[in-house]
Amino acid sequence: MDCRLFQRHVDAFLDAEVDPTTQIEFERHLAACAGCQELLAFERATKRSTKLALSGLTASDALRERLAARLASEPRHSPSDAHAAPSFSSGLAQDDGRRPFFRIYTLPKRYAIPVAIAAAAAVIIGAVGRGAGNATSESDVMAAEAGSLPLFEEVARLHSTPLPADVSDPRDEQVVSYFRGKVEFPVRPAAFPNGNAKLVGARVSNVRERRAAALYYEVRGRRMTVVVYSDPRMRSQAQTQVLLAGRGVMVERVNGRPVAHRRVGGYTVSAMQYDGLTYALTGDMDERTLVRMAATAQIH
Amino acid sequence: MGLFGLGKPPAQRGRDDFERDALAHLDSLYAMAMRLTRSPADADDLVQDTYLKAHRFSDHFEAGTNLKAWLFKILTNTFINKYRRSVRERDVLEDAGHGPVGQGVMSHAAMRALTDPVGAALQPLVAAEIERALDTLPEDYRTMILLADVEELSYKEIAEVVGCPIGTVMSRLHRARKQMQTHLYEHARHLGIVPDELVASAVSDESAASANAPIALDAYRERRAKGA
Repeated sequence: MDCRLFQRHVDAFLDAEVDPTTQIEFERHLAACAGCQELLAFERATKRSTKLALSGLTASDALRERLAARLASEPRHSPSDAHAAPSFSSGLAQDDGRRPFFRIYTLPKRYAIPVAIAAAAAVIIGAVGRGAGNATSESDVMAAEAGSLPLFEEVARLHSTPLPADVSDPRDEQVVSYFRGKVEFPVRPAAFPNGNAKLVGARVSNVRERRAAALYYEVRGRRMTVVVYSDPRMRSQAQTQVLLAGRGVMVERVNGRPVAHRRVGGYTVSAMQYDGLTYALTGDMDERTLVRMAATAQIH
Repeated sequence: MGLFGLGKPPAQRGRDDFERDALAHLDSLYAMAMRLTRSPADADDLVQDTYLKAHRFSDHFEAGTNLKAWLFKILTNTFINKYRRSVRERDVLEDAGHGPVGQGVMSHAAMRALTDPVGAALQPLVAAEIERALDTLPEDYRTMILLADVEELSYKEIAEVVGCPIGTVMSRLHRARKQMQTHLYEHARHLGIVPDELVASAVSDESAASANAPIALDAYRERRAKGA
């Protein structure tokens, strides 16, 4: 990431039109670059001033009344003019109020298929978690998801080079309301039964181009990061089977709950599913601790 | 759910609904019409034409899509067909000779001075100057500023309204903002808010040229993936 790249796309960043991955990268760059911070502050200030200065023109009451009267007396449809009708593509559907992200880049080809499959896996696990499946398929899918692509690497990276928390010293309610509207699912912080883990911060982040919640914990003086994410895209379970073998992912049942885990660099990442969401844990502690914490995490 | 997200085809909706929904955007359309025509009488006419067309073709409006953007599209097209004096302006803008405008309009010190306006007392002056700056822009650029900065439409919506690809929206908006900023900068310099000597420290031609070179995020990612 260099300054030219940021400068080139500062408009899209300012207008929240970059995809989540790029946004996070830009934020990382910004955190370390005073020059680009200034540029962004300037662009933002100009945009705000422009809106302030140019808002406030309103139609007269006379025009409003005239229009209402005209429209009421106007025949509705004129088929002879059909050709002149302005067309509007269905691409503008306001599905759920989210803005379509403008993707600046394309994903490297080698990721494309695993991403789709892993995305599917999250959904399947979600369904299984609600009681539709058996232990084997549940484990298979978890392993497939965990091993199919650098998902766990991303989680580890979010921990090893953390971005500053947006919510600090948070209580659960604050965290829940902070994430409302920022991610596509309700974020409920995980609680851990032994009382040693304390939630110390949270911020919006992303995993595989989708919004995710990063929760920062402190566990007996060590840092732990919990990343919560979801992906609604769907693939068949057969496809996930293909990915099973030889990925280095362990899936085991602890406390009756399947937990996937894998070593990533110096870290262990453990993951469990709850209510269709994946909770991936990593931190400055040993493998067993992280697996146990994933197994005992409680979502309220 | 959008404004029309009731799942009914438009034909089944009462025309009262359509009129009510459409008239909710009257102020936005009027403001746009005023900025385009620069005349209250023309703006009134343009808005009225827009609503009559929208009303007549409301069956063509696709349920679930963005009514405001659709109305803006009709307004923009009507303006182009009826009120615009000449199409030469557009031809000039679309000229391939225009390279992308990068950074290099002003120095960081100048940006800093402008980011923090000298106080609330100057705000009305700034606002007046922004209106003037907008008036100096070519129509297409003005439209970009209005749709993106004032109406806060998404790039995709703007692309639909003006009928061009998203990439064109991005470059046009970028240039439009740069022109606005240059105008404001000149004005600030004139007022003494930004000292003259900062002009000399503005980005040199050479680095401005390199900033203009297209930078693909793809290439950056590939380099990074290779561990560079």
